[in-house]
Amino acid sequence: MTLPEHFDHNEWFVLTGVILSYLLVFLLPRRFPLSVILLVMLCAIVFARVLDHMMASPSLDLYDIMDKGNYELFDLVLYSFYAPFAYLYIYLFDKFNVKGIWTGLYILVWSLIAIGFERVNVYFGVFNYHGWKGAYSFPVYLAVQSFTLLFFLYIQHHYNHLKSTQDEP
Amino acid sequence: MKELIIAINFSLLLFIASISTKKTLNVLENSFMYLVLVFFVTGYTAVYYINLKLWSVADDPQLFLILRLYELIMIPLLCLWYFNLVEVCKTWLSRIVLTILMTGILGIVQLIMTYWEVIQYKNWQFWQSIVTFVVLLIVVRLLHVWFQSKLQKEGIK
Repeated sequence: MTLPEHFDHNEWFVLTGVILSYLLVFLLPRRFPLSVILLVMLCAIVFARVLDHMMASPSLDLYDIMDKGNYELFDLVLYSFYAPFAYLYIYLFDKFNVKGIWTGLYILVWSLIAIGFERVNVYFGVFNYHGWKGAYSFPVYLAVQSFTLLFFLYIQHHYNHLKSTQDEP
Repeated sequence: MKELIIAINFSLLLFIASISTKKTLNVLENSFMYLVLVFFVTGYTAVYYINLKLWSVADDPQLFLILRLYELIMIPLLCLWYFNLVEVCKTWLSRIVLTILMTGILGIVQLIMTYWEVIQYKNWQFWQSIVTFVVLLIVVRLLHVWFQSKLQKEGIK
């Protein structure tokens, strides 16, 4: 894994963003068990990794991440940046008890937030498009956020089930 | 085309078998390990063929799709089978035998990938792939033990 060519604005942006977003995660009151938090965060990291692996690898090469097309050390830092967003996403979903038609609206709003955030990333040179367009990201975010929510509900259901069966005398 | 059909069928059968069989590990552990495995497998293949250029991968879309099935389904699910089966093994001998067997299976799958020219070795030997698989199994097992300890603290065995 290679180090950045120049430690410039994109690395600083990612590093600052990671520190601030994890600070937010630690400052928020704990709402879920640690195992559920870990799984949701890991799910977000793996989604980002797999999608970048498919679309940014040399065969398709629709965009570059950070300075080069190579797999850089800062790519890993960038992947960890997705985790607090996923946490905040399910945190607010659970806190406001989003249900029914509001779930669709919630996913739509978060997909728009993600598009806006991606633009900021492009501005700071985190993503360098060649062939990819910002508009293509929208359906990807819709799908990923729907799946993240389903995954969260699935593991939360199983967590509660496992907990209740083991708490029984 | 024949290769792609075989790879899709094998991946689907593996997927169906994986979700339909009763597992020794719970859903949370299996989910954790699957995610970790996908992260590591896509990570080391990218490092091998993009950064270090130790492998080259096929440009043909069908063969490239097989590589994705290999990274996202075949290797992670085979490893999940191993981690579920290793929990059943009572003795160290049986665990070692299972580890050797699973490393062999992972090696055979990779040999098939090289035979189909999905992966082509450049400055790479087959034994290095075996070492990679052993390291992968050890690292994921250590992370699993760590995750298990978190679950136990929360009252889930």
